[in-house]
Amino acid sequence: MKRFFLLSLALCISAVLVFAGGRPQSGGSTAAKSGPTLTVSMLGYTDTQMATWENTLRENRAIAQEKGITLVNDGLTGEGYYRIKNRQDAEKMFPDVNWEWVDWGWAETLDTKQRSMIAAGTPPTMLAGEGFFPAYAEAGMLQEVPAYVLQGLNKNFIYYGINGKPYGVAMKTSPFMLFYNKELMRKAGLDPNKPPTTWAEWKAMAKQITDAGKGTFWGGGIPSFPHLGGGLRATPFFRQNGTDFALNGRPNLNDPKLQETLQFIREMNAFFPPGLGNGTDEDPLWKAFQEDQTIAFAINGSWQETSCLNWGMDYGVAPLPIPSGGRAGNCLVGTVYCGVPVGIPQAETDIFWKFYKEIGLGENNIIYLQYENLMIPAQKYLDDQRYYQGKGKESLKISVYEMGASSFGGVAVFLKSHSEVWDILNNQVLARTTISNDPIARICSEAQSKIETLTR
Amino acid sequence: MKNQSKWFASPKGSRRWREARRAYFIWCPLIFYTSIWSLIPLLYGLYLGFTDYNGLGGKPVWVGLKNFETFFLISEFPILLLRQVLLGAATLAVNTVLSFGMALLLNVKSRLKGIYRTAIYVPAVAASTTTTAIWVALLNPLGDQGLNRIITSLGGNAIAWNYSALWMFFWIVIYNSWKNIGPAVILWLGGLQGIDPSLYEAAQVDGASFWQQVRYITIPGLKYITMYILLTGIIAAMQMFDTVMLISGGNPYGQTDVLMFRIYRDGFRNFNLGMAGAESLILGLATIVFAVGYFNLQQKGDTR
Repeated sequence: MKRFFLLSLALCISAVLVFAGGRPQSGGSTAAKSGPTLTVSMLGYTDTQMATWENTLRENRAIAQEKGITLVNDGLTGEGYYRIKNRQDAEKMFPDVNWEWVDWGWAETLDTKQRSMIAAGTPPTMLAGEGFFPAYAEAGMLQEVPAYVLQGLNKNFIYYGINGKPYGVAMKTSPFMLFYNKELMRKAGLDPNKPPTTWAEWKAMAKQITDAGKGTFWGGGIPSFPHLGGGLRATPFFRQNGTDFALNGRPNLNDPKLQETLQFIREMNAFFPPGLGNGTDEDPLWKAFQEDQTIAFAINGSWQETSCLNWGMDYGVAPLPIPSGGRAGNCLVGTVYCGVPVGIPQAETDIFWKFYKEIGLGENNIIYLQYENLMIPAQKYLDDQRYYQGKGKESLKISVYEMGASSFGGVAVFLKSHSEVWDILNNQVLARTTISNDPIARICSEAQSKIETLTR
Repeated sequence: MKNQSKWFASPKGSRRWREARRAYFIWCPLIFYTSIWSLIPLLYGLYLGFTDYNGLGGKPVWVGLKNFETFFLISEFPILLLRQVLLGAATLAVNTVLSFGMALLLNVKSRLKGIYRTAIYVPAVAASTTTTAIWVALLNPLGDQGLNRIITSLGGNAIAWNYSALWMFFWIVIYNSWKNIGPAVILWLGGLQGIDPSLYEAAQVDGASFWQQVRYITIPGLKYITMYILLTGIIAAMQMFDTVMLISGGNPYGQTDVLMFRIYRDGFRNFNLGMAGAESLILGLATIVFAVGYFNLQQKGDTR
């Protein structure tokens, strides 16, 4: 009896310890269908999210009916509405497909999950990402995007690898633009309807505002956060000056034009309160700009306009100032590229691209344009002037201008150790430029040497 | 041999063997679990240190000592190890002294003793993400936020904490000490209560002052507790990364970065699993050297 008891106890402990891990969360329908299984993230809500939104929808509609009002998107966010509609339309268009709608978060969480699945030999049907998407492409992990998917799409939304082939298409993005607080400009004696158009004008205006503020409000400059948030915002200025962090996939830190741009970023940092433009946490800067309204100029994507409206700011939006002798240049931000990994069977690949082209990049995509002020890839929607009318659409007009004035993509891509190189650039080049007074040439040569050793 | 055959042959021996077999049977699942979830991943991680692998497509490619060469060729890496040791040593020193002092203060008869002990222990069980978020809010560089609000209201100038490596170093040490003081205090208290009170009575009779009692009775009486606290403290110091990640992020521009945080970034952000494996092996060896070195020092002291 004692032996039996001990044996049972040992087996129970084994079972609990080994199998205690929870089942992976699945968002698909429980009844298996005859078609293939597609695992899709970022484009549709999971079962749990659908249930939550359905409850929210019911409550919102009840409130709207009670108060006799009409809610935009039934009170749902544009992102939520887009994913709900995608899922509903996909399940109607492909009734035999087993859809696994998953939510793996964003940034590192998504990257880690996707890489784990690839390493385990069970890649999902699609890979999504922004800053880490190039790593997938350059590692040969992605299939080429079929030509028919690219028809009618603005080229800025297509991720081209270093070999020039298309590996991903983004469903939304935004260039950077200059947001400015008209009230602070008035207080400093500046014309609030004449934003700066050149670097020299911008620097002079920022100085005038900072001097007038006497520590209560500031002009603002170019953020140099010690992470990709800084690298993204600095990149347009390098490109305007005819340079970039990378040249043919190799670091380019000894370029005099690049160092000249870093000098400008350092000078503009003087118009932030110390620590605000280069802190680890971005939130204090955005709070200071949109809530406290103590910063006059901000560099952000088109979504900033909604925040300006919500906080009741008397704001303006303008294209980024350019250097004298320079040209328009920009960088995409908030870009969600989607691609299909190699090894996915042709049938699943075909279904995914058909779904993405006709549903994800079809009429549902307009939700981002209409309600979140984000650019979408289909040129026919981008050209439709109806979406640029009304209040709060200035940033969309600037986005269209920027996309026409220059050709740009995401941040510079490095052939080797892309993420580690960007770690060095964000921390030891950008942040060091604005935090320390070390000579820029020395900052750049030290970083160049480290990167060359790392990528040898 | 004779005894062994006796052991097997005798009824007592076979009972002993049956009991041993039962014991093995009971802790077998734990060994199995530890092997699957700890030992095999550890060995695989060490193997990865000799490879080039980013977790995307294909298998790890053997590159021998290349990652270790990179570690020693780029001066930044040994500096990260040195900084790990310095930051860890500073935290350990502050924590040990403060926790010992707290334990002496708490080793009194008081009705509120339980409340004080609980209060001291609470930071140890609070989630790091929550407590560091509060500290980060306190370290806001703006003049009307966090600690700067107090400083500016007293007539001082706001401090851009994140501009100064010294300040970030200071706050990391203070935060770590505050977070980890509780468990150390409990251990010290346990040791203090294990010292024979008659020794103190005898010392008082001989006219020893409070500090003399601490020096000649308390400290020697806590020798083994001290050894345990310092040894586990050394190991914890060499593994410190969450505080650095959440409070300074290694900033300003990498000046508070430590090797353990670098391993995390190389492994889970940059996906340079080979480099992360090599760094882990070096850090592990350094930890063993310090721990064994300290242990031997203690043993030599005992022998004298």
